[in-house]
Amino acid sequence: MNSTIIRLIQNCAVIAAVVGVATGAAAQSATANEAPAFELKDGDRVVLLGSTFVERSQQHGHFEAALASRYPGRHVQFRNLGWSGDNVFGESRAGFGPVEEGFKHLKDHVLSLKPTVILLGYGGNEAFAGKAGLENFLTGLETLLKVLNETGARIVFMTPPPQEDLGRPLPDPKQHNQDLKLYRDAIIKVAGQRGNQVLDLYEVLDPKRLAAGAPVTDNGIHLTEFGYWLAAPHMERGLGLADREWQIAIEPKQGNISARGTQVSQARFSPETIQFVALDALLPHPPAPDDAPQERPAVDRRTLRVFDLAPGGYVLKIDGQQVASADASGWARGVEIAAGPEFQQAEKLRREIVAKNELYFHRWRPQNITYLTGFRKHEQGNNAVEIPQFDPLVEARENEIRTLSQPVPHTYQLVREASE
Amino acid sequence: MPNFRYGYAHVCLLAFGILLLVAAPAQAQRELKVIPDPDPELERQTFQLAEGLEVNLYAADPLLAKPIQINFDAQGRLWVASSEVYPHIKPGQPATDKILVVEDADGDGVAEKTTVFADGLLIPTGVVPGDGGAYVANSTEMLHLADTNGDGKADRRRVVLSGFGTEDTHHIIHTFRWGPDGMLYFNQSIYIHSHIETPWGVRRLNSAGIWQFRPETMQLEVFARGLCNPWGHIFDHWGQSFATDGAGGEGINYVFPGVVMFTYAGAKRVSPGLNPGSPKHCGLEVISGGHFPDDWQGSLVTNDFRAHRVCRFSLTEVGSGYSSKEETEIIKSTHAAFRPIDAKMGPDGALYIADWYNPIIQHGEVDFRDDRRDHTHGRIWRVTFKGRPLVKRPQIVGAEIPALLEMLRAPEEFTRSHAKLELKARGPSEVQPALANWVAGLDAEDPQFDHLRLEALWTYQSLDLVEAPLLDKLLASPDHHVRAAAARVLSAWNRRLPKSLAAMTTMVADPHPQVRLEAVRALAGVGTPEAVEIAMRALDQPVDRFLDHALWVTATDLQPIWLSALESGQIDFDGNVKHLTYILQAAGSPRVVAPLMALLESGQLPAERRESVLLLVAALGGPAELRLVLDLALAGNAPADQRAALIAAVASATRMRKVQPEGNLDAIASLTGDSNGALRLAAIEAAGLWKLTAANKSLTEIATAEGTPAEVRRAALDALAGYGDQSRDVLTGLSGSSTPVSTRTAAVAALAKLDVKAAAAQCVQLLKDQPQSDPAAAVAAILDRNGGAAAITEAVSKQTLPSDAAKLAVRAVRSTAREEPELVAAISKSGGVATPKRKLSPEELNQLLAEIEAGGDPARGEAIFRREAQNCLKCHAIAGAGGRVGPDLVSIGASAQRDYLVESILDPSAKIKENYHALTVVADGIITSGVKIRETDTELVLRDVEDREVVVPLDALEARKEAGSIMPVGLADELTRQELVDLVRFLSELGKVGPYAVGQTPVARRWEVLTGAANGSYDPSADDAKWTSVYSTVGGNLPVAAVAASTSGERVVRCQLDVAKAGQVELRLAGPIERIWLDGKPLERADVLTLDLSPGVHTLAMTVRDEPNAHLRAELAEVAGSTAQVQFLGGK
Repeated sequence: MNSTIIRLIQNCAVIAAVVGVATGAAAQSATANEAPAFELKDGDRVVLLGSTFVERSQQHGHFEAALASRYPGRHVQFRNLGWSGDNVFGESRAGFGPVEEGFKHLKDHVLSLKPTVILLGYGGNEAFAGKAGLENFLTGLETLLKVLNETGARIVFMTPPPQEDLGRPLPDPKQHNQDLKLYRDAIIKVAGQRGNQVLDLYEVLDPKRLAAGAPVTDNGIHLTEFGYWLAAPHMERGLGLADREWQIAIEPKQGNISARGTQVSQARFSPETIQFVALDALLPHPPAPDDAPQERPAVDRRTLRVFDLAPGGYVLKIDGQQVASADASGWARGVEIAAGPEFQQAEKLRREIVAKNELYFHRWRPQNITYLTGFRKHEQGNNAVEIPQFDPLVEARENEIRTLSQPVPHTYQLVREASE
Repeated sequence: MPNFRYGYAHVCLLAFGILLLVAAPAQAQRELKVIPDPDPELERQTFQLAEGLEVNLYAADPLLAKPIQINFDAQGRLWVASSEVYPHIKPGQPATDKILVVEDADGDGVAEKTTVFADGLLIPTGVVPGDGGAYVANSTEMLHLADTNGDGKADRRRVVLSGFGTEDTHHIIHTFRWGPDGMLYFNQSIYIHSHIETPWGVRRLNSAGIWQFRPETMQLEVFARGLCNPWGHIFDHWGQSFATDGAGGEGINYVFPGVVMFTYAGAKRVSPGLNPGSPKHCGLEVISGGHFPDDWQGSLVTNDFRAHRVCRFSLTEVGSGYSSKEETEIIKSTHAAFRPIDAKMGPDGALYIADWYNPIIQHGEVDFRDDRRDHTHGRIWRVTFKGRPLVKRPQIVGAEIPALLEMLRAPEEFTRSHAKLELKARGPSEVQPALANWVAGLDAEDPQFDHLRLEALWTYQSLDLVEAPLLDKLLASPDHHVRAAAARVLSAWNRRLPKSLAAMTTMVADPHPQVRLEAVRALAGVGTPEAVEIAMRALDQPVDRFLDHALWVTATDLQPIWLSALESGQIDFDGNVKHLTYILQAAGSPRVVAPLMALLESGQLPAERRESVLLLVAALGGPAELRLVLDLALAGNAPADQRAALIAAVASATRMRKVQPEGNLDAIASLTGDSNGALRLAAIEAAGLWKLTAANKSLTEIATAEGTPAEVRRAALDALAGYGDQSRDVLTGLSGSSTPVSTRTAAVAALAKLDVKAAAAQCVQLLKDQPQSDPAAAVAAILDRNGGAAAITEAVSKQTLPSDAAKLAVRAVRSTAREEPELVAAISKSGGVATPKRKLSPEELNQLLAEIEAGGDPARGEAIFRREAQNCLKCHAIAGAGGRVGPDLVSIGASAQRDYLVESILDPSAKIKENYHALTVVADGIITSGVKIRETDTELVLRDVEDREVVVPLDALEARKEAGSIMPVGLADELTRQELVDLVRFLSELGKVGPYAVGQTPVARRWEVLTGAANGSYDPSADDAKWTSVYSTVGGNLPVAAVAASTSGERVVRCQLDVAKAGQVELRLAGPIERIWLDGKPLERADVLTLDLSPGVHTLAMTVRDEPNAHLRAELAEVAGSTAQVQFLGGK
């Protein structure tokens, strides 16, 4: 436990520097667009539309969890409509019909959801056609935007993420990245003309910028779970959202507790124990997934500093759960808090989101569609009654998600370890 | 509590509830008696085995449940994809499907341990171990699951590929296997639409096919297209692929790179399977290794899961492809739940069979929630040869590299393929030096020499190391198998070898057709205009159907590349007319008309190709080109039939594409009275389409003249309708009461094209005047027009029809296979005819099922099935003999429960087999219903209820809708109850072990009976006779009673032999046969004849004595030492 904490603190400075750059860039592009600042309001329904990048994000839930916990207690629904291989023409949604039918499915589905916010992530697949295909893409995008305009939703453009170079025999991404940049620039231009916000994934997920310490994709183009975990806070910043600050500094002798990002109350000081209750403004991001490398950037910087403790070791317990320990000088320098009930709640929230997404997936893209509603519905169409039976299951999960998005008070205890 | 006011409603609801309670279990219990005792030993005792075999239970529930795919790993452990959620997840149900690893550690042939390797999956339909874990199909995804801490359970999960369609859970990705080249192959089935992002670009497959994937590079390509549901795929000793189809009827299918097979969406042409008329098959394995005797080596094992059979096929090379023959079954069983679906050779040289164990196999046709579906059982059976030693399990894992290389000598494919995968896992740097040494040390005198070098070449390919010197040597091997396999490797390395095009140029002129085929496909992979030009050189040597398909695929796939190059003069196919005509004919684009015209004008076109080129010009050309074709037809030098075909083709251009020849067309008018029937009919049709004033008078004369043949009169009436309003009086007059009934009927039909309401009124009048005459032609013509059904409904509702007329009219409506409930109701009411009941209550159904069980006679049922009036064989084949409109019924009884059969007869649209859903389309105001055969960018081709292929241009399409079954409703209306009971009993026996299972003996099933000859009596050397098809019974006999006398009183019958490979074959005949001719030449009359046959189709004709109770039978048998490949032709 100790060594992990020390390592995290050491990494801290590096991350802060990188993050500074990212935030700056996002802020800049936001002003250039003159788009309104990103915010999700109570009652918003967010549709995520795009290809595999969007589709696979529903299985991990990191980005959605970040947005859900960003606005605690607000009733916000997320509908992930990503479909592998899709493009602005809705080609992957065509089913048994021609491409135009795919576009119709896309249109009908998006309109039926009555979204208030649309995160639009196309261009990556189209970019394989290179410069020659750009015009076709922009024509398709224009047609798509006409349809999306009908919803009146706030549209946020997501540019395609860059291709990561994982060495041979996987492809050398140099040329494809040039093409991706071409499409990304075109998307930013369209967004600028419309006054829409851009989440510039091409920039935000640049491997150099992420400094992940390990690949974030396993094939160059699709994020691993670790990749999605690491991307989530970067994507928040890309939307112009401030970092989740959380810092508590305690001067026991003065009885002072200063806190940022959390509200401290019921503080009690004794020579052996410092105790208080903290209610966070926002949940942290969930803990790193299993596939994360040992050496990795931290995504939350939660620091507890306690000055002037008598020499000796001190253990921090939150709700009785031991989450960190250090000696007096360590606490004076500050200890990174990377575990505990808040992280557990964040993880629970993420899992709830993943479970909700799975249920919604069965709702909108059920298996055996040929028999349920397609041209063999005369055989199994009676079982299509099961499809809307997913709705209450989705709703129950969403209620739970809303509850879980709200931080709850926790009791912190810094207890001096008995000297041996 | 409800107050009194609601008491009544409450009681009602309660009563309804009780009804439901009673009804639901009755439904679920129906036929519960066919749910067998799940004791595996009882199941085993039902197995009838081929000689010398024995079977033991390797593993069963609770050790495993619902196995879908099985694959062994190098250690000999059996990996099982298992799904209890199949076929469809319920709302809120967790996805709990598993990958199991079944182990027989002590090697006694019985598994003792199961490990749950992975859980939480959703209908995993495929698993193959590899790359330190296993690749797993998980609905939309291909996963790689690995156990990193050695506890036997997967703890690392990676989505390798995603975006696979799930439109049907028995079609989702499956049949995972490694190829000899170190690539992962897997299949998807017909309804699946997959859109996969790879770092090389998006790959899409919107129908069935076989994928080829190299995990380390993420390169994903489509290897083959088509088959409905290809759940079996093997590579043979030489790396050639074969596949089976779980929803197709052609047995073993030969698969080569780029092949397009049956049912690929949008395919214009398909490569045929090797066993037409087969039932569906699932799984495929090739027998290899020391445990099985020599004559079993190379045999293919697959499963007729519907009829509870494990089948064996043997292959013979024929030209660029193969022929396949079914041998005696490995296992056949009467056990209703024995569902063999996969087969794999094990580490001990035994054969392992996965048994899905289920009384219900259907997916679409049986309710997802049917209680009879089994979700918990499953078996793995182990088949061994009595008295033959097992193979010693190879120690592959951990072996030294030289030892692994030595394993490439093993006769067991199991050992060789796992050794290669292990070598691949060790990586190129470790393996390369040892591999080079091993190849250098091989003995050139070893009979296996080139096969060993081929294994080495595949090992290089697995390691992704290009090894040009070895490739060059194998491209020059004396063994064509090796050259063919090497040509495929050459194709894979094409971009990395400087001289690949030169090598392919050599291979395309290879003496062996299989090598030429591989070269043609390799050249397609090069993808340049020059490569296509070189590929066409395969036409310089004989071209059989597989090579032709390879050329056609190459020509059509690469059309955008070569056509522009040809137009710009970049390539000219060396000015070779044969090459040019072939590729231009394949293209089917109007852009080929100009080069075709140039060919015609050059005068170099050989006479035998002239007609086909002209037909193509007519099919694609504009007014000027049509004129040229028409002029050649009018000139009169060519034989009349050829001229007729050309005029028909030009007329068809007008009908389909709305173009007509330029200039004055009046010359066609003189041909409307021609003495040649075909020419006359073509001219009449053309005259009507072009509204030729010059022909109007003669058409009217033809239509009204007394002696006009019926067929010509019909054509003339239709042609007159083409003139529009000016023909109204003539047609109205002819459809009136003063005309003979047949002319009158045809005139009503023609009038429908002009004025559907007037035609409807005349039709109803016809029904009243002529209640005994069949109005089908008139009714169908009116229903074919938009608004036709409504027009008759309106006309008939004002009239009272004689009851016979109403019955015939209803039958006429039904025979169009359209559901017109309002029209049927109106006609029935007008004629005072009751509508028969077609939905049975559960009680009625149970009663009927009981009668079928107790008193159904399958022999009487077969006679009813074969009755001409019943029309069954018009649409349904049994074992390939019969119509193609509906599914082949060869094993329907083994797969479908009787309640399903009853329902299908009474209410055909209730449940429909895949690919037999009808479409109803409207184009140019004409309605057509039929089963879709294919759909391209320009046209939709339907097979209508008359088994005709109807081409609908997409341009003209106004509406299309799904139309349920094309099987007419009410076919059983005229049956007595006992007849229905017998018919269902017969159908329910089809394919079950017993007299109604089609055996392996090749026997003539499709015959043709002489109806009339041009010169009166039969002349075996002339080709002027008319024939009608008849079919043998399921047992393979043709009742003499089915051989009607011709107009001259003779009883002549013929059948045809398709010879794939020349040689001797024995023909065994039985029955009252008098004289026999082979291809028009008399043969001596004997019960056993030895024929020496050349490749192609041969006709065997015979006269028979009228012995009403006798049977005819013709069987083929092998002649010792002969390699001939002969089969009887099936079909309609």
